[in-house]
Amino acid sequence: MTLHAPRHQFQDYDDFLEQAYAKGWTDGMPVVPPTPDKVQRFLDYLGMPPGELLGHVPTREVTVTAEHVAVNAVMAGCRAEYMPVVVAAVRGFLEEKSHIHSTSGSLMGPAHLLIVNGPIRTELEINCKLGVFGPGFRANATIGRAVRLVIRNVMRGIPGFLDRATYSTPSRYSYCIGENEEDSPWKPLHVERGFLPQDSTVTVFAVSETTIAGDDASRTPEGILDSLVMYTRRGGVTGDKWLGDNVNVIMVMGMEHMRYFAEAGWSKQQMRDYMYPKLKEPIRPGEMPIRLGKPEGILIVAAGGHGMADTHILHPHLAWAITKPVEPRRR
Amino acid sequence: MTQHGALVTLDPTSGPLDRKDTRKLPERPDTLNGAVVGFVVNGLGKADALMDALYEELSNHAELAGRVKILKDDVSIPPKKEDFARIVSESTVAITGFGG
Repeated sequence: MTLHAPRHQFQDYDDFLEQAYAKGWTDGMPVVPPTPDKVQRFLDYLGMPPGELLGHVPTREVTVTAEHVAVNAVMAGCRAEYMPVVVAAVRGFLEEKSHIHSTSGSLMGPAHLLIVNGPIRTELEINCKLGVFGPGFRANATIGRAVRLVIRNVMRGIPGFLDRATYSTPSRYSYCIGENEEDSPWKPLHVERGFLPQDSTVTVFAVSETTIAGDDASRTPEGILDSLVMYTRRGGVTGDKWLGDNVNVIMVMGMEHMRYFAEAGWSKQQMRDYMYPKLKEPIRPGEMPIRLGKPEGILIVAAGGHGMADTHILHPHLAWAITKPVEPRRR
Repeated sequence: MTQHGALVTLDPTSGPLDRKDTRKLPERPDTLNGAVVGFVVNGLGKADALMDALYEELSNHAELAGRVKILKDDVSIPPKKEDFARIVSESTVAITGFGG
């Protein structure tokens, strides 16, 4: 299988790195040289031909191939074993309703979060517990970074060029978590969305902002959910409650809040049914309604560690949450 | 490119940023007199009211022949192909607004 990308020669790694910066190939951090051998190894791991089309961006006249993704995954510091997750994430990102404009061009500067579910999460050691949104975990850091480098290098989402984010966000370096399925009393996200527990998936979601809903006083499911409703209504885009129709909102719930629902035997659906009518109530006349079309639009994800009695509420930016299967390797 | 380089890598991009754009803007009319104005309303904020106000304002400056207004099904996705076809076939000029 022939690799199609143009080749460049450098004297050594230092020369490559300086040229990579000069050519605008990096996110500001050092990158791994995408040598043909290494890129080929990544593609061989998938069993995918270099020219396989993963999607396209019509407004940018760009097509995204497996080779593009492999090159950028190498640069991001991925292992070959991460490629199935990166490919699924890119496919999800390129779905129309995932709305790539949100995180590659818009003024507001949201970031697409990747949520990994299923067995591959533990196989690749994708963190879903303590420090889940933070640095220090290779799989989380490099899978998320690989997608961002694809956005930058292939989809031309370069700040000041097609990326016009006024402030942007550090989440654009990398934004990838797993769901803590082992400690959760609930069905995992991907099972709620129609997949089997033994399937592995990536859910892609454009996050406009995060509201940290802290409540260390409530001791009942209803009390905690009332707090979440209050914080959820408070967040989002002013005057345009959660830009986008039929969008989702994701609530990432850690150990401290989760245990009250486990003890009381509440399902995710019960939580949604409790919150939905409260979220839809107008606060005052003339206020724009939250554009959440149904209770199932609220996605609850178990992740994070012990300690803070918080739930992170991730407000959408125009996009729907898209869940894609992680395809098994083609041998 | 170094001819005797020791390290060979692949290019991570989809091509140069300054690639030639062969598309051209359509010809601009000299006047809006007799024109049917097309509007694509993206549904964000008060875009619908803004486009209506814009039409009224244009009406103060030219003898417009009418308007075609497309309301997108969902702010998250582009207009449908038939919406674009309608704008192209029924309007003389078209105005749209995007943001977010």
